[in-house]
Parts: sequence; structure tokens; C-alpha cells
Amino acid sequence: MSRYAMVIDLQRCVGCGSCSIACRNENNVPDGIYWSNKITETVGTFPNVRHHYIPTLCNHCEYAPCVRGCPTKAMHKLDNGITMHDPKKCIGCKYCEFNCPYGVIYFNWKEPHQFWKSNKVLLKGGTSSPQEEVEKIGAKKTPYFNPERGATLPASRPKGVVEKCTFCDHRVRKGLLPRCVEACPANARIFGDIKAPDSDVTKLLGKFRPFRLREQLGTNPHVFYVRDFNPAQYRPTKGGV
Amino acid sequence: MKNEKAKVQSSVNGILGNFVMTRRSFMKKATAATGTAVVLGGLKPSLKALAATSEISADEMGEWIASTCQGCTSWCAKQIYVIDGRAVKVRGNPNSKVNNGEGCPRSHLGLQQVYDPDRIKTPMKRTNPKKGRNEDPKFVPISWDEALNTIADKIMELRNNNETHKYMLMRGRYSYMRDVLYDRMTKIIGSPNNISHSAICAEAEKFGPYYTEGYWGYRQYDVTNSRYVLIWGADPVAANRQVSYYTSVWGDVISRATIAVVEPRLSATATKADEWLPIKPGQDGALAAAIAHVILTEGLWYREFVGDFIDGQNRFVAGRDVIEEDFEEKYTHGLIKWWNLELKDKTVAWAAERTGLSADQIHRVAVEYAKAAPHCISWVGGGPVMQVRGGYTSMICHALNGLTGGVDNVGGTLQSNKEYTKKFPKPDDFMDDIAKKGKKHEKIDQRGRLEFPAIKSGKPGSAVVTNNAADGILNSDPMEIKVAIGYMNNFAFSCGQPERWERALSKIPFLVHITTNASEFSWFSDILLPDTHHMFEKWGYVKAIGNGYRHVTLMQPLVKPVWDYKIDETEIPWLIAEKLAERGFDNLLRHYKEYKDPETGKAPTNEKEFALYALKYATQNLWDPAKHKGGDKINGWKEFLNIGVWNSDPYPYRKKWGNMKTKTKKFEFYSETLKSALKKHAEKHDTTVDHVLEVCQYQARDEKAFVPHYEEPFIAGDEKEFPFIFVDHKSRLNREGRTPNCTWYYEFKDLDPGDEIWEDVAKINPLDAQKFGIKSGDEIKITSETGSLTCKAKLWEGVRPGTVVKCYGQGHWAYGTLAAKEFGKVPRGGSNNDVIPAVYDRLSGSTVRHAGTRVKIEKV
Amino acid sequence: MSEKKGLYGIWLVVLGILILLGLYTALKLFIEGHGLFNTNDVILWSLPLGVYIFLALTSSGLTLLAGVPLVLKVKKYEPFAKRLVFLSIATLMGAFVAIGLELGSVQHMFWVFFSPNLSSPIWWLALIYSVELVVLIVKFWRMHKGDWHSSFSNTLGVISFLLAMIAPLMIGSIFGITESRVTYFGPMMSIYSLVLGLLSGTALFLLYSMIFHRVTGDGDVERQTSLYNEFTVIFAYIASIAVVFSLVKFAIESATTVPEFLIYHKFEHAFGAWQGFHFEVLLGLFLPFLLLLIPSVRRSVGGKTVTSGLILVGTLMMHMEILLAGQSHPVGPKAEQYPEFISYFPSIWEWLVFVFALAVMLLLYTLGERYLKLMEVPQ
Repeated sequence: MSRYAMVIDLQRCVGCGSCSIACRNENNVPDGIYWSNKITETVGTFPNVRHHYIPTLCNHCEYAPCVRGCPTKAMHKLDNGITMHDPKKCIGCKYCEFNCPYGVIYFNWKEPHQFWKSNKVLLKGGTSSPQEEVEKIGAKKTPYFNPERGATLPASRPKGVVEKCTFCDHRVRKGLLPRCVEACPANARIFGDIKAPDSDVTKLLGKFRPFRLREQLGTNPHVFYVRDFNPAQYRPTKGGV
Repeated sequence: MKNEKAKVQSSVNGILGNFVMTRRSFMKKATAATGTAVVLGGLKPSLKALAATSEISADEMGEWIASTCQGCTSWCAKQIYVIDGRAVKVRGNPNSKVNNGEGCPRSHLGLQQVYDPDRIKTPMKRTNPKKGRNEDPKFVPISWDEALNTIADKIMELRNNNETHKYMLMRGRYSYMRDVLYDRMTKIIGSPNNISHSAICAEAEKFGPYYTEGYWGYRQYDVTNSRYVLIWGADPVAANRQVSYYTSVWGDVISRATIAVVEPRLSATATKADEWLPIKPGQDGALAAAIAHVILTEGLWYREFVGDFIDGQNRFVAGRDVIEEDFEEKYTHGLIKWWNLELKDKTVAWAAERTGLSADQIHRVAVEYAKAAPHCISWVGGGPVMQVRGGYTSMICHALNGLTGGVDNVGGTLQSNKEYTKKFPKPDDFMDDIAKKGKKHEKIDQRGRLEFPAIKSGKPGSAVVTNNAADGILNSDPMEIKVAIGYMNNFAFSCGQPERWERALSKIPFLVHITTNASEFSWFSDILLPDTHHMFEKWGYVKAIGNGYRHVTLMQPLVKPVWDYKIDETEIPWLIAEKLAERGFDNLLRHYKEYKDPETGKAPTNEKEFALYALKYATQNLWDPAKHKGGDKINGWKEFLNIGVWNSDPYPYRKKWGNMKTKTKKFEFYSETLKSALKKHAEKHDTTVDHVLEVCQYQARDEKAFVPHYEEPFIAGDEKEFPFIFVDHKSRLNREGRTPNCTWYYEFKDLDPGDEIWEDVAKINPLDAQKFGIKSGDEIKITSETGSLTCKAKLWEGVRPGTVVKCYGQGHWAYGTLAAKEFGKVPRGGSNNDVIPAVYDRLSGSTVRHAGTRVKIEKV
Repeated sequence: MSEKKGLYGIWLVVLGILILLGLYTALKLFIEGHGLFNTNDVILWSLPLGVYIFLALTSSGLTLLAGVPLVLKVKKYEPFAKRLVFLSIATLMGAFVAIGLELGSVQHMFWVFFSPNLSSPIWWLALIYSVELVVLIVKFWRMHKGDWHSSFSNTLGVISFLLAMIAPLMIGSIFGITESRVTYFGPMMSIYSLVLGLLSGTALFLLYSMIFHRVTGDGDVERQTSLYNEFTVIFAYIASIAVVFSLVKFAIESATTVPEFLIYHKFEHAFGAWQGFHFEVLLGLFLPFLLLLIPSVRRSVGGKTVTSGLILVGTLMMHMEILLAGQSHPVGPKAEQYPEFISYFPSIWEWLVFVFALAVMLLLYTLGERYLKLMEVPQ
């Protein structure tokens, strides 16, 4: 069985967020919820300043606190290492979200995609209401709703349950890369089987000294980061006193 | 009559429907026949590995259909995932050699645009005869028939009164089908007034390259072969142009090349650069002059391109003239004149004083940049040049490419590759006497007047002065505008000092807007026509360069249209032409019937056929194997439609050395080309070049006007009253200014470094903020001499003290439910253009958006 | 007497209205979801959960107290035993109301039994309190039938006592094993929960008895003065343990430089923390504790009422405070979306959940007191 993992090459990443927007799109993620996200930081004082960007997503930890704490096993591990959620079993206690050290789990506080439920019309007779638009297109929830997401998870999760990144398990099972990987224009995301000795993931992890988020917690995350967002050159110096 | 129309309509739909079906079944067959090779060809390597181990199942519900994204002017080839006639996803088209299958964040927002419920779904007419910002137009829906009849009547009125020159066409975002509507229709009706948006885009960027290397166009940059990339106010990993391509290689570029970004705010590209040079706005020319000075005094110029002193001894010493005869130039012209007239005094210390940068950094950048010659780039973006006097900054920044031999060279700055699309049939035979007479009038933007040289490609008065058209209309100078059509433009939002446009548009008695959304421009219109969305619903093509290639990429209607939209550049002019023919003026329709289907030789009989035939006609040389002239060989129209993109041959380096399109055929440090153009303009107005320069607010006189040189910035507002210089920048998520009606725009707004989600923020350096008692989150009012805006304050270190930085895009008071806080009344956030005055770089005709004004900030 | 009857009627009507309001709230939450709460993806557990913790722990505290006569066989406390068991049941019912309305999908609750996760403290908690409720009800039924000391009844007593000891430890570990939230103090949180449970249980019983006495004019308090006084001493002892815990907690909080704690200092909310001072602890624990050190206060009915009342409210506030403080700052990338620290004030709907839980509890108290002879002692 494969054990999926992702390497994120920060040097290639330009912080454009294509991953996050494509993820929204692929997984029908409602507004306010970010399966794919980032941690940014502006470092330094003018004029010695840079802005840094670390893409984030579910780490698909080996020892996942969210899985450990879930009372009903709604949050569970798949054989391929993916941390998966089953909203049918979710009682909405939010303990996984509370437990996740990485802030990647979100709760559906409301019925999702509310924007598209409105029946307000901007110009009477001249424009349509969001609801009318969705109906006319014959789509569910949103006009650009992706039904393929529904293969392994409700294509849109109901209110009252949590949701998070699934490494696009519905795509991976078909031999397709997770959408964020496909959509990354910088090729900063490398996906594959960490157990296979010749996978690109394995090769990269052997080449660099990868780091992971909050490693000291012992969760054994499977999203690895290599290189630096800004590998800037500077003239050699010994400083001075 | 009505029944007949409905019949035609349905049979047209039938044709299109069948057509789409055949194409799809063709695609499926093609995939099946060529097997996995085709499928895998477009996938990334790591997926191939994956695919090899697990089988690709066939339960994908839709298919990827080729199109093009025009969210910015990168113009990337795309593929759209379509399920049951519904667009679901967007990705880069792997068949393009320009963007290599890569995309960018803004492309996905197209989905929220095409399915925006606020799109107008039917033609509408204004029922409130009064026009103005505070007049609700009270639009009511009407039929296409009524709308087109009204438009045709108004045009016929002009024709009957012999005043066709009072017709005007305003162009916004366009494809290369533009000439059908923009050029041919305007000419055949008989008006000079086709006004494009180009001058609010970046014409000044083209000015420098043209008057040094004879190339009027955007450059491509050979970054993967480069060793030093010096970027002036461009942000290639975020905005314009070839964002997808530069994003895809940037991680490698930064390994091989040193990247230096000159910009007063920490741009997205600056976050991934070795050097950030946070220059004082408007002082870029000083920095460029100092870099050139260092290159020459330290003997770092690229001798194989520029030449050398005859005796090999470097006589470039600060403050000292050099004798021209001592230097023998190779592929350049006028180096010594440039030194003597401009560079000899432009020392690093001199520049440090003006630019606010450290002398150490200036010197370091200059030396390291030049040492990378010829594999180095001086990349001129809109920032330093879309300024009053920006034309000369464009020249001096671009001239550095001459010193280093980076021009037209490996790892340097490149022109465009050859492509072989065809022009549409000529209109001349269809222009009657009224038309010919009408067209002879002066244009409404007043280009070519003494104060508007607008010298594109060496021809005075040939460049558009978009933003000045408002004043032309307001003053009825040179003529009154009676009938006007605008398409996919929004000058009442996108131009500086838009309040002038509000008044100007209100003054036009009959204004038509072809648009997707009821925008600020629409507010003043009499008729609104619902436009198609370019990426999903339109026939068209565009050309773009990057990665050493040029591609021609198609756009096609690939979704089931939700409402009754029509294509701006083809279907609508055809329908108008039909209506004009009904009224006895059939010249336009007869002209359009010349656009025959190259496959069948058939003339179009309706607007749908016309849109398709016109596209096939224009691109025939690319897809018809019999007409192949170069680049990708494509076997017929169907295959072209399937692939969606044609790629040129790779870029031939150094072919232009000694063969440039300048007067001297060389790279001109002393621009004979500009000299001749300026003289032509002066002669036309019976005056001297110096007088022209004076009127146009430039500082140079005499010979200096012909060399790239530093001009002091010309910034409106007194420093005491207005302590900050206003810095505008673009967003990763802007699709022009049209995404602020999309939720994703706000959900991801913080992808622009320093910005916040669901807010419109002005970024201020914490030192300045402390001085003025401003905290992050404070509601502030930013005021210039010409206007004001309200937004939130954000304290950020990535801002040069003394400037206030704000992203363009928000501040709509129309356009949609989300874009405006209260539609028709209150803007959400603030529009940058409300504080930017309508001033110009008059040599290029460009509208100023950078370093244009000082502002003050008050808490509200 | 008729005036009292009138008051009783009004009281029942008031409770009835509150319960109807609660049912409406439940319906509203069921339809619209928990967006009605002033929660978000940073502060995800709010007043309803705090109320649940508070009531559940109080219930456990009451059961533990009931264990004194029933398990440890301290006979002189037998007059309190039946009431303690009943109050524990009623309070636990209140807790169930609060948690029921806090869960997003209470209709999926059956999965707790069909898909158990033994490594989840929440699962254990659900199990323990379900069993506890059943055991307590059976035990109460046995007592009501006069069976106080049969081996069956005794076994029930022992089980309920043990469960009441484990439950607070489990509640504590929900927070304690969340390694990523250091402000919950790890294992200490379990002991702290146990102490606070005992404290609030004791306070509730004392307060309840005093109010009951005041309202009904029942002579019980006079009859059992020495017992109540002794009970108050136990109360003071438990309070002193809580005081020590709080002091240790303060000491750690103020000495550490762990960033989460530093943010925690800036944190202000409706439950007493203001300007870096924990007023809920000062007024809800330290003050009544000091008062309890005064013998005359301990002995007077008023003193008992005030101190137990202060501590009861204080304990709820302390639960809320610790619950919220651990969630005051966004974790990881959520900091991109939310401010550095977030303040919280319950929405009307969260207050209504609180009121609903209280109303159910009070209604049960009222009815139990009226029909179930809670002062009974074994023959």
C-alpha cells in the first residue's frame, strides 16, 4: 500500500495561492473555510524587509490528534495514510478542530454556499438572483459545483459537521494528482508515495533537510517543506563590532 | 416576422449545437485512438509515475476544452473543464509553449465571473432621461430587436445628417477580432473616433524600447538564461505579463540569477528577490542614470555589442566630456553623446540623494548587473513609466539593455516572434463619401495636437490619449459626440479622475454599453447589451509572447449560455449591420459578408456564422496545412480547435543586432528616431522641439531631448499639505478591475502581500502611522488635489515611509451586489483613480497612474 | 399559604416559558445551525460547552458528596443523601441539554455506540455520563423504594461514586491531552476539574438548601444546623484546595514566556478577566474563601448563601475563562483569517441554551422536591 505525502518546495513557491483557490473550486469548499491555506509573515524593518509565505494544508499526520480524539471515528486514517473524514458519523463536537495543532479543520457553522441561496435581484428583470442562476444552470449549490468531489465524500458538506483537506482522495484514487498540486503554476508541490524508494517525494526528501510544522508535537506530519521561500544572495561578511 | 426570427434563431442554435457535438465526439475519438500517450502527454511527470501504478479510470464526468484567459494581458492558453455544458474548472493549456500548461490564481475567478448573477441577462434601456452620478438610470429590459433597432436608427440619423464623425467607439478588453467592431465598423459608418483603452494600460512601457531599439511592443524576458534580472516597477509573479510562465520558472531563476526589484512597496516579486530597492516614487530615472554611469566609468559595458575606445583606454571619468571620435561603436549609436549630454555627472552619490537608496546598494546593483552582461535584463514595467515624463524614464531604464548587450540576446530582453494571422478584408471599398469625409476629422482624444504628441512608432499623433477623450467630449472639441458605443470598457472607473468621465458620458445623448455587468460606465448609458464572457462564451483569438515563443490562442463558446448574451466583437456588429441594411445602408453588411469560411468558401448568413467564419478567416494560416508559414503544423480547423493554441518557432537570438527598426538600424543611445519624430511634430505645429517639450511639461531642451535621461518627477500637490506620495499597484486576483464582484476575490485578497481579506486597505509605514496617530483597521480618508477615497488603514513594513500604498481594484460604486457597498450609490472600499489626477506622459499619450499625486490621510 | 401556592404557580409558568423558549432555540439551532452562536473557527467552544462542563462537573461533585453517606457510610450525612443523588441527576440532565444543543449533529450521536473510539476522552465521557445517569436513576429509584443498603443498592452507589471520580478526570483530559494548547496545563487540568467539580457540587447543594429553606420555610435547616455547619467546613476545605490550585496556575501563567500565555494575558472577555486581572477568581473564589474563614459567616444562613452563591457563579466563570483562554488565539494558518486574539461575548442564542439547561434543571428540582420526598432517610 502506498503512503502518500507531499513535499512543498518553498523556493519554487511564489505565494500566489493558486493552490488554495483551485482547492476551493475542486472540493466545493464554502466561503470562510480554507482546506488549503498559508502562513505568512512580514519580517524585518524598512528597508530590510521581506514577506514570507508557507503554504499549509492538512498534514495527514501519522499520529493525528484529530483522529485520536474523535469520539465516533468519523475522523479516521485510510490505509494510504490519508486522514479522512466521514461526515455521516460526525456528531459536530469539533474536538478534532480543537485538537488539530495546525489549524486546518473547519466547522460548518451554517448551511454552506449561502451566497447562492439568495433570491435578491440587482436590476429587476435585467439580472438574475443567485438562486435563479444556479437553477437555470442546472447545478447544485454553486454554478461551478464539482460533482466529482462526491465520489468519496458528500460533494458539499452539510452544516453541523467539520471538514478539511483529504489530499484529494477522490482524484488520487483515479490516478490524478491532488488539485492543488496540479494547479500550482510554480511546480512547488510534489506528491507521491513516501514508501516507494524511487518516488519524487522520496528522492527530494533525501536530497534536502526537510522540515515539518510543529514537529516537536510528535504527530509525524506528512507534508514536508524543503528550501526557503526567499533564498536571497548577499555579499559575504563577517559583520563588525 | 417574429416567428421567422425565432426559427432562424433555433436553427442557428441547432447548427452550433451539432457543431459542438461533432467536435466533442471527435475529441473523444482522438483520445481513444492515440491512447494513453495523449492523456499522459499533458500531465506532469510525477503524475505519470502515479498513473503508471494505478489505472486511470474513465469515470471523469466532463472534458477539458481549450480557451484563453484574458484576466490580465498575459493572455494564457487555458483549458476549461466542462460538465454538461457547465464550466467547472480552469487549468493551463499544456499545448502552449508560452505558459507550458501553467496557470495563475486569477484564472480560477473566471468561473465566478461567467456565472455572476449580477451579469445583465438581456438588453436594457434607460427610462430616466436625466443622466448623472446621482440619477438612477431606471433600466428596464427590452428585446434584442428593440435595442438594435434603436441603435441603427441613431446611426442612420448621423448618416442622414452627414455628421458621422459624431459617432464614437470606445474599446476596452479586446481580442484580435476587435477590428470588426473597432476599426471596420467605425470607418464604414464614417468616423475617426475609435478610442482604445491602450493608453491607460502601459503605452509608455513601449516608448523606451521603440526609441532605442525600434520595437513598439511588450518584451519577453529570457529569464531562465539570465544571470541578473533588474526589474523596474513590474511584478511578474503577480501581475502582467506572462504571470504563469514567470511563476513556473521563478524558483529556478532565483537560483541562477540575482534578482533586483526597484519599487517603493514590497511587491510579490520583491518578496522573492535578492535586492529590494525601495525607491522614492518617480526617481527611477536617477537610479538608471547612475547605473549607466557606473557601468561606463568602471568599464563594465559589453564591448561586443557597444564597441570600445579605439585605444582600449577607458576615458569615462565622472564630470569629464569624451571626444566622440575616440570611441568606436558596434551595434549602438550615440553612446558618447549620451555620456556627454546626460551621464557624466550622474554619480552614485547624486542618485543616492534623489532615490532615497543607499549609495552602497546602488553601486552594488550596478556592478553586479553589468558583470552579468550580456545575460542580464533591465525589465521596464509600468511603475516608473506611467508617470508624467515617464517616456524618458522608459528610455533610460531600457537603454541599460544596450550597455550590457542584453537586448535581443540570450538571457536578455527579447522582442516578439513572428506569427501569421491574417488581417480582415479592407474596408476601403465600402466607405462611401460620407464615410470618407467623416473619417477625416480630428479624433476626439485630441491626439497630435501640440500638447499631445502621442508619438507611437515614430508617427506623431498616432497613439491614443484615452483619458483625454473625456475632455474632448466635455468641451465638444474637436466635435460633439452624439452616438457612442463602448464595449468591455469602464472608463468611469478605470481612468484617473473618473469624475470627468461621469460628466462626459452624461453629456452624450445616446450611449450604448456592451458589457457583462452594469458597471459605472453603464450607469450613464441609454442601452445596455449583455456581452459574452471571453473565456467561456466567445469566438476569438489573441497573441502573446513569453518563454521565447509566441502563441496564438483561441477562445470559443464552450458552455451553455445561461442567458441571451451576444459576442461583442462579431455578433453584435453583424446584427447592427443587418439593421443598418434594413434601413438602406448595407455597406457594412456587404463588407462583413466578405469574411468567408476558408473551408467552404461560404459567406456568413447570420451572426453566429459570421463570428465563426471571421475567426477561421483570420487564423487560416495557422491551421490550414496548405498555408503553413511557420511554427506548429496543425492539420485543419478541427484540430486547431481541439489543441486551442498555435506556437511560433523558437526565438532567433541576435538577429536584430545591426538590423533594428531605428533610423540608424542600431540601438540608439542618441535616438535619431525620436529626434525625427519630435521634429515632425514640431514642424506640424510650426514650432521648435524645445517648445513642444515645454508645452508637454518635459525638462529636457536641445540635444538632451534625444537621449535617454533623468527628468525630475512631476507630482501634483504641495508636500506640506499632502505629505504622502500615492503608490498604486495591481492585484494577483484582479481580472482587470472586474473581480470585486466575486467572493473568492475577497476570500483570498491577502495573497497580495500586505493586504487583508474582505478589506480594502491603504498600506502605511508604521513610522508614518505613528506620526499621524493611525492604527491598523482605522477608517481613513485619502485626499489629493483632485479627489478623495475612504478605506481602511494597514500598517506594514513593506512600504517606503512618505508613501501610501494601495492596490487597485476595489471602490466600485456599481458593477454588482458585492462590488459596491450600495449599488449605484456607495462604493465598497475606495477607488485609486478617485485620487489620481488626469495627467499624462504626453509623448506616449499614456495616462499617469504612478507618482502622479501627493495625498494626505485623515482618520474618519 | 395561598400566596405561596400562587408563587409556586408563577414559578412553574416561568419555568414553562423558559423551557418553551429553550425548545424554540433548539429548533432554531437545528434549522439554521451554530452560526447563531458568537463562535468561529478560533473560538469554537463557547458558553454552552462551558455550561455543560460546569453542570456535569457539579453533578459529579454532588455524586461524590452523596458517596459520603452512601459509600463511605458516614451515617450522619444520610439526611442529605437522597437530595444529593437527585440533584446530581437533575444537574446532569441540564448538562445534557447544554451539550445536546452544542453539538452540530446530535442526530449522529448513535455512532458513539456503533463506532466507538477508545482513545477519545470525549467518547469515554459520553459513555461515563450515560452510564452514570442510568446508575444514578436506578440508585435513586432504589432509595425511593426504601432500599438504601441492599448489596445491589450499595453496588450502584459504589459505581456511581467511581464514575463521578473518573468523569472529571476525563473532562480534564479532553483539554489536558491537547498538546498543542499549552494553556490547559496538561494532566493538572484533570485534577483541577475534579476539585472544581467538588467545589461547585458542594456550593450548589449548600446554596440549594439555603434557598429551599428560605422559600419553603421548612424547618430542616434549623434541625440540622450543626450538620450544615460541618458541611460548610468541608466546603471551605475544598475551596482551599481550589485556591491553592489557582495560585499555582497564576504563578505558572505569570512566570512563563510561552507565547500562548502572553496572548492569554491580553485576553479580556465577559467572564471576569479584565486588565490582566482574573476577577472571576478574585470575587468568585478568593473572596468567598476568605469569608468562609470567618466562623460567624460559616454559621449564618446568609453567610452560607452568599459564599456558596459566589463560588457557584465563580466556578462557572472560571470554567469559561479557562475554556476561552485556550482558544483565544488562532492556531496556525487561521491567524491569516482572524485577528491575533479574539474576544468573545455570548450571543442571545447561547444565553438561551444556558437558560434552557438551567430551566430544565430547576424544573426537575422543583418537581422532585414536591413529589419525591428528598429529605427521606432510611428506616
